Amino acid sequence: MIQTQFQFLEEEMKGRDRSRNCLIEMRGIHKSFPGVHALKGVNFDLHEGEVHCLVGENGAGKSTLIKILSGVYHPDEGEIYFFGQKIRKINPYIAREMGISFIYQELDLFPFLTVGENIFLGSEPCSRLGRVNWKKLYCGSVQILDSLNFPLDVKTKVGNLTVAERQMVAVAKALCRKSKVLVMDEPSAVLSGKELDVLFDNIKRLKEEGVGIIYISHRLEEIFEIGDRVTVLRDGRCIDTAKVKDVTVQEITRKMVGREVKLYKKSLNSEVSLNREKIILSVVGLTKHGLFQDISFELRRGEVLGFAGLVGARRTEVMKSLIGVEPADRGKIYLEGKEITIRSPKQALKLGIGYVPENRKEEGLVGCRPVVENISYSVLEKLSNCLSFLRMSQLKKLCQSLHKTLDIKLTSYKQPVENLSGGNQQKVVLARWIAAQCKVLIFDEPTRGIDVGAKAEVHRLIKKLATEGKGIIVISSELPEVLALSTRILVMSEGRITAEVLPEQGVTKEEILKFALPKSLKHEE
Amino acid sequence: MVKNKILERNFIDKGIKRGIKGFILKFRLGIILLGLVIVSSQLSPVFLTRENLFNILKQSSITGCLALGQTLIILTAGIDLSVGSMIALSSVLSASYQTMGWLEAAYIGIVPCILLGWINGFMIDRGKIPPFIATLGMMGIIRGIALTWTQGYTVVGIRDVFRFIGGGNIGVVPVPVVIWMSVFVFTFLLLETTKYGYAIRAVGGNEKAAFMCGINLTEVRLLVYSISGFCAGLGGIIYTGRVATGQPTAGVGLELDSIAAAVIGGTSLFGGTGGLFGTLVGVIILGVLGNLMNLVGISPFVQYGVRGAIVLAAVYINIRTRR
Repeated sequence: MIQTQFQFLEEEMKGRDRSRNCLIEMRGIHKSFPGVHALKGVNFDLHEGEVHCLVGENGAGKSTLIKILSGVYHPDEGEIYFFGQKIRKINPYIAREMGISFIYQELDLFPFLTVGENIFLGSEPCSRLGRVNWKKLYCGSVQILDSLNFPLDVKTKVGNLTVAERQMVAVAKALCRKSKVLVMDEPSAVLSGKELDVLFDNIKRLKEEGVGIIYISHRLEEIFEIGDRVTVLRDGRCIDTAKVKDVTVQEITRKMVGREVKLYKKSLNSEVSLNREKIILSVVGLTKHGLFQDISFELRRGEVLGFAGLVGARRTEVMKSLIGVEPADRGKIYLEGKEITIRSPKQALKLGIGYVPENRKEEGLVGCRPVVENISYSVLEKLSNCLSFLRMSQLKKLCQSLHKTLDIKLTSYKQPVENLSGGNQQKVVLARWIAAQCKVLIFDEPTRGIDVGAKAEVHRLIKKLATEGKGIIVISSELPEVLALSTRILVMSEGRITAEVLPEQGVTKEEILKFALPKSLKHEE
Repeated sequence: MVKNKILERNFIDKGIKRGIKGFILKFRLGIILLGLVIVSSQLSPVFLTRENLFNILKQSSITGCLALGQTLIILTAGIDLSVGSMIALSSVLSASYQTMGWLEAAYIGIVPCILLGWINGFMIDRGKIPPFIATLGMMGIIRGIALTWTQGYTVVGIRDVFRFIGGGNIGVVPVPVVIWMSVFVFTFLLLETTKYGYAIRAVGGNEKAAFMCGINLTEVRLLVYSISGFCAGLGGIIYTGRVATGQPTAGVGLELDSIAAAVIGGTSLFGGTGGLFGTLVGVIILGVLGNLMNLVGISPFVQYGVRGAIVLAAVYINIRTRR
């Protein structure tokens, strides 16, 4: 306690020394969402003319921190200073007015407006009566794009551009505001070689002009190219802030993943999977243009197959094409040796393949409907008689047994699902898919946004389902989770399977992360 | 000790308060209806007579049938604006073919409406046309067909069997009310006890989630729009029987009345929440209100305004209580 206070004081002293050019300072930021403590007292600061990189695993709290900075979320605790001035309430408008611009992961552009309109949106050059001066607008956009070395036609609609070009427009948009602070959330995720060089040139130029830049990226080598300082976040805590020249890639990687996880216990004796060497599902050369290429794998009875990777590795897309939401262009799927084609989730369900989606609010639950109805959706066919009347007593029995095995906390079966906590909502989704009695169950981020206790229960359940002889696929961006749950792990990166590893052979998180990072880094190592 | 007792008292008081609040919340529609009935019986001596009460139900039966189908559609987050026109179509078709016998004529009136409803569902599901637009277009098309069929004239000379459907009694209960209640029982059972009912609300509550867990969206949409067509066709038959003519201009504005009744009954236009019993009470509330205003002698011009205000008030109460 005393030590932390001391550290805090020390930091404050440092801050005061350089207070002349401190652009942003965040102190002791706490933020909780229902079921998750996303940020636990994070300190962060940004000085004039520096590139401060923010790194961490998925879910470490980077995006939450940025969203607090932009005013999308309000911190539960903590103080924020912009240009040495304490800010009580931020909203995106105030942030913009103060000269802080954001380039988000999800591009916030308007596809039906032209490049020029997008760049000047919200700050259009106007005549006194409020009419837009189009000539000035387009000339201005041409100038900005020229100065950035982005060759784009200002009058094309943004919807017709490629993702990389859109990213450039987003950068131009942020720059036209003459911002003093620029926040970039994974700007390089969709950019390649030449475009990336142009972006870095611009960042270096801006730095010389005194603009402060917060740079978030999974590609660690970029940090060494343009970063001045780097802050590592893990589990909502600030692990370290250091000068880039003082650290190495290995150090950063270790700080990103290196945690002692007591929650995950390695169990699931491998005998189970070896004894029943029966392949239940095999996928050969599944390809969807622009998304993923040549995905092949086999799933055995009683096996938990983990899919590791970073956000954007297209793991979810592969699974969605597998269950027929967006069927793949090429490739074959065999279920128990028979070739099958699946065009809709309904068909997948009939064949015995279930998918528990990663986003339970959007794709999993019907929030306004009661628990019992939400559980019933996957078994409506099985539970209804020839006149399609539901067998209510059976449904009730089913719910009671699932309620017991999953230990869902609820006041009544008629309670709308949206009133439950995150963990219990997730259990309702799981209950639905357990009720369906699928042969193959795909869990996409099964423990996202739920608390530690519920997490452990979900893990226990997944293992139990595997021992019952089902084939289980688990997608998770949390490496410890994949390592603890899986009998075999496939690592995906940029739409390809890059490695297959066995956790029993003592694979470390660093090794997996190496395969999961995009190619450019691997060449360098 | 004393403190404990006070705390206990407070707790009980709170519990009672919450209980009362819950009761009001649950039966708010019933309370509104009861209030209306009490006020009406005070204002007019004839209100509580059996003839008048059955008259209210008889007059509400067409809107009542429409509102049942409409509710199913609204539960899927859709809307059907074409039901008013369907009444006209069913009315002129059944009146034109009444010489074939009343049952055959009824078939001829109802079956096209079911088909047109199915087409509505098809356009919305396969064509991805928003329900509002698809049924708005259909509303015009059907009205056009009905008017063209009779060249704008009214079909006259309806036989007595048909009049029985519109104005007769079974025992003491008017036939339209019997029809309306049968449709209610049918749709109610469908919604509350079959797999389709669960699917209907799931589609309205979260279409994406419903799709992901294997519910057939196409099937659900075709079903509800066809049922709505059936309800409208039946309404047209009742209409023909009641006015004893086939009217190509029948049912103008009834689609909005049916939507209003569903909304008063607590069905959310966003889909997923609400039910048929609420709609039934909603229709009766609108009926009682109209009857009351007639008995008291309020001008029909003013009545429009009052009905509009009631719809707004009801929706406001629903939104407030749901929070």
